[in-house]
Amino acid sequence: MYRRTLTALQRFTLRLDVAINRVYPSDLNPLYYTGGLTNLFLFILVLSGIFIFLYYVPSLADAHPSVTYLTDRVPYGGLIRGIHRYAADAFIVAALLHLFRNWFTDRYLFSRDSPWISGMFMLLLGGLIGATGYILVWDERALATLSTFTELLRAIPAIGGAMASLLVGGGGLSEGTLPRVLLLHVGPASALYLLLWWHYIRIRHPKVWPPATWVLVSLGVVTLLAALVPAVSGTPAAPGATPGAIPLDVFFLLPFWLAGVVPPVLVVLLVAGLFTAGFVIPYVMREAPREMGVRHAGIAQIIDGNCTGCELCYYDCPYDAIVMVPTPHPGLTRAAANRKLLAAVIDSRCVECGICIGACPFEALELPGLLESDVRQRVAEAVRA
Amino acid sequence: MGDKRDRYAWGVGILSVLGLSCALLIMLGEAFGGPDHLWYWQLGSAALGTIFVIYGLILLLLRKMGMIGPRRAER
Repeated sequence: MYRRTLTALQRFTLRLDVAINRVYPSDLNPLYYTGGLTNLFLFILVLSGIFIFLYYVPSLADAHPSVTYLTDRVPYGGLIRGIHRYAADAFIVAALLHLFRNWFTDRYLFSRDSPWISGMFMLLLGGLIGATGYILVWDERALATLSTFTELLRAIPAIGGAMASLLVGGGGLSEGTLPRVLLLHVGPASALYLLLWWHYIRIRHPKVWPPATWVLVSLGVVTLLAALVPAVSGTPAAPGATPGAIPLDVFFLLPFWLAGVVPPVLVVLLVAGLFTAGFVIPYVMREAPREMGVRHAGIAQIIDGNCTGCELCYYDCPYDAIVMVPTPHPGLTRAAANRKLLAAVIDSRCVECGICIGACPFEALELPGLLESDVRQRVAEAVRA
Repeated sequence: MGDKRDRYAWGVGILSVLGLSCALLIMLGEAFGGPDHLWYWQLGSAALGTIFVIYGLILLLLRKMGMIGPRRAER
């Protein structure tokens, strides 16, 4: 059932690609750059965030006035704030599109597991950064968000209470609250760049940046939105007062909104369940139908006796999965008798692509699940048929 | 193909004129805007956003005309 649904979604994704390719040149199809667009919005967020940081005062009395000052008095401060606000929305939209696209097209299996796992961490951090961003404005909505956040944290068994205290800086609101929230907003944003390094390291030609057309259009749309529908603050937060009904942003703060509908413990279980599923899916859903083109050939194996230490596989492997080590003993063939080096495969880096098999003229490498003799037999059978 | 190219060329021309008017609006916003005249800043900001979109679309049209981007053999 799961596999059938995923196949249907994959077909839908590919048809959408074809439809968009009819409008745009295929190298400009925006769906091919969902990751690059996410990266672009992150970059916009960092730049606009640095500007906002220069004016923000993280104290209970001055946070709201400092945001108002930035919005109304600083030249184009309101624009930068709006860009920060809408780029955050766009970041989440692009990240979710990227996630669903890679999920539907099975690009989370085998060698793609580390980009997928790092992506899940980035999504988790993205949610935290978004929620803390709402709190920093320190208006009524910020107070409601903070209160729901602590409620959700307290619903986590065993460590929830401690986490909530850590967030607000003790039992209740204090002058330490907003600096902590600010740290939780800025710190994970820096961590995102470390995770990005992990995200890209196993991808051979990552599309880090979208084409100039989409950079300009994305930047333009975010700027236009920020100018036409400016980001504004609500009434300053009054911690002692009883808050009325404050609508939360359902898109960005869905778990927070849900916490008002169902018990917080259920929301925590739902979020934990979704992320756990996201983290384990590359390892439990490895069986893909043959027509999807996924094959499991096994990690490349060195045939010790044949390896001459020529280093051709070492130079050809695009994933740096082969290293040359001093040989402990001579090879068995005449060519390998006087070798100085021996190839060794780093299992965690091998993507089972078979490039090293083609690179080796001495038949010193093989993929255990796809032996050369089997390939020759299959080709011969195909030719006969 | 020629008709299409002409249409794209017209598109680039019209967008360029629009881009120029946006540049004038940015100058207007910058000249008259201030903390007490936020509306002008807003106008300039909207023009800045529009100019980004316009330049992006001009690049797209130039790409469709084959004037920029990968060579024909690489497409």
